[in-house]
Amino acid sequence: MKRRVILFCATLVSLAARTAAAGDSPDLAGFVLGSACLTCHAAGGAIAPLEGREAVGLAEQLDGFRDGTRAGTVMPRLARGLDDAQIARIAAWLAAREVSR
Amino acid sequence: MSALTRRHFLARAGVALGATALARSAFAAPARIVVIGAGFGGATCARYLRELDPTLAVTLVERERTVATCPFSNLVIAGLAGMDRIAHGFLGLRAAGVEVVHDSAVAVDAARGEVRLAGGRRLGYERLVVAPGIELRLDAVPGYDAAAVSAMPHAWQAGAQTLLLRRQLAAMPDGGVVLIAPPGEPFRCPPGPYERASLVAHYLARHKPRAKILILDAKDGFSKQALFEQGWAARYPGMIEWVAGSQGGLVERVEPARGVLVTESGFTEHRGDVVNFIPPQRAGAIAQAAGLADESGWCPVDPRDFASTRVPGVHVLGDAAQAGAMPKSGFSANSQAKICAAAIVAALRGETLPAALWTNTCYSLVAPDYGISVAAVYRVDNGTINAVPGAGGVSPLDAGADFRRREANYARAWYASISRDTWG
Ligand SMILES: Cc1cc2nc3c(=O)[nH]c(=O)nc-3n(C[C@H](O)[C@H](O)[C@H](O)COP(=O)(O)OP(=O)(O)OC[C@H]3O[C@@H](n4cnc5c(N)ncnc54)[C@H](O)[C@@H]3O)c2cc1C
Ligand code: HEC
Repeated sequence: MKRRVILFCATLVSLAARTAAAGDSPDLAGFVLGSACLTCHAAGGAIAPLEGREAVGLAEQLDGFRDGTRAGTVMPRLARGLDDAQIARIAAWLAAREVSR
Repeated sequence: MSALTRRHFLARAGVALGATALARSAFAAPARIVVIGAGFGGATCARYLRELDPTLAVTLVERERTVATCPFSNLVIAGLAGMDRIAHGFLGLRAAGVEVVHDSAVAVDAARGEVRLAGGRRLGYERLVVAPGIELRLDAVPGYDAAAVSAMPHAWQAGAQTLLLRRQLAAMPDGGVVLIAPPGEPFRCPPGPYERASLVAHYLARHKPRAKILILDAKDGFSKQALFEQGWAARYPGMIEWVAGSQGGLVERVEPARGVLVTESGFTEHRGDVVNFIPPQRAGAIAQAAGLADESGWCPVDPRDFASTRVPGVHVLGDAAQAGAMPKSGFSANSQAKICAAAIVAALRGETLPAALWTNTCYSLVAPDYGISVAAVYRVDNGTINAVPGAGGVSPLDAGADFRRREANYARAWYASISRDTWG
């Protein structure tokens, strides 16, 4: 799990650099993986809102749901559909979003 | 849409729309996107098109002033919620810069890039998104025609039908029989009929405890079957009986005046005090009129961007589309709409759409404090949308009451969240 987290951090730094360079254009690669999370985790809802949260923490929690170290009702079933790179992308995309709209 | 570069897009749009549309995109006037239908698919697509590219001129055509959702309409039928709980207006979408037009789309002229509305207005587009939901087939089962709908409500489109079924249940005598007859696949919301049976049983158990529910199914199995049957045995013992299609469940004819469903080549007649007949379905009428549907009644699409394979410049979303392994659900429609919005924005910019994942989760309430779910993550492989192996699945059969209670609470939280995500 530690090694994975280090990998996430490295990917996140390079993602952040790329996003900054892209200027205005939206992070479509993050959007087409992460926007489905908002269907359940919309701002202001009873299922923990995720937008604007710290990326490393999000990635760690997803990793935990995926490898079974963290229990849940539906998240383990969903997280098992994601690979390391997708988790890093999604975490970076969610972290970069404004908190409320 | 990974292969769809700007040149491809322009070529495709050029075929569809002629030289004027090309000139428009070349001079960077705001691209015009028209969306037909403001349910889970259309409303989500309109909202996220504006979020991803605020320069787009997005017009959403919806015939209703407020939409009533099918999700949670089973609570209304069971007397556990009012219609206001499932009604959504359009202030949020308007605030997001979407132009909402209340009218019916009656024709699509793909060669000119134009949608014609019942009121006479014509809307020009560079891209069209069609998300009209379903049309009930009133020609499929003898006896179930337009008149039968008011005697034997389907309540498979929410609104007046939901309230009619509610009133019939309230008027039914104790000791009466409720017939529920679900169709074969594919149809809107595979677990929906069984959630309905559950919540109707919840109502009957409290108000008409001698009543019975008989489900006459066209199929030999159904979504989350083991979980539903476990829940029925625990909460409504002896109240719900399910008959598989091959065991005499398949309804061949209906007699609305007598409240009768006829099965087994006429050998058996089932009479109900309340009859909820859910007929086979097809893509909404505008999809048929626009030539988007094939002989199956549903619309074939490119799985990457939900572009119609039959009419260029048009995308089809939600229940109307043939979406590979994805079920026809509000969640699926919402998920497809987001990827479609991103695909349209990428194409307009000449970018390639990165690899996407789609998601679905269908919660069902066996009782207000008893929730179950089925979930999956999807991706495109071998040219179609398949579930990612190893992920997804249904709630565990051996879970305790606390797990079921938490999922019931998450079902309500999901409904609030997807409503906000869809209509703002
Ligand atoms: C009882 C029941 C329970 C359900 N529960 C769930 C659930 O818990 N979770 C879930 O995910 N899904 C659920 N569903 C499924 C869900 O309702 C559908 O899958 C979903 O509505 C599909 O979205 P859509 O955008 O394709 O169509 P719709 O939501 O039906 O939206 C289509 C819209 O287009 C409009 N329209 C159609 N034609 C025209 C036209 N020509 N011009 C203008 N407007 C037009 C209609 O008025 C409508 O508002 C349930 C369904 C039922 C019946
Ligand atoms: C079907 C609804 C649903 C979807 C879709 C969904 N989640 Fe969740 N999420 C939940 C629920 C419910 C929980 C509570 C844990 C549980 O019971 O599984 C949760 C918990 C979490 C948590 C822990 C939050 C905390 O502070 O405790 C994180 C992080 C999370 N989800 C991330 C995601 C991400 C990222 C996605 C998209 C890839 C996503 N979720 C998609 C329903 C959903």
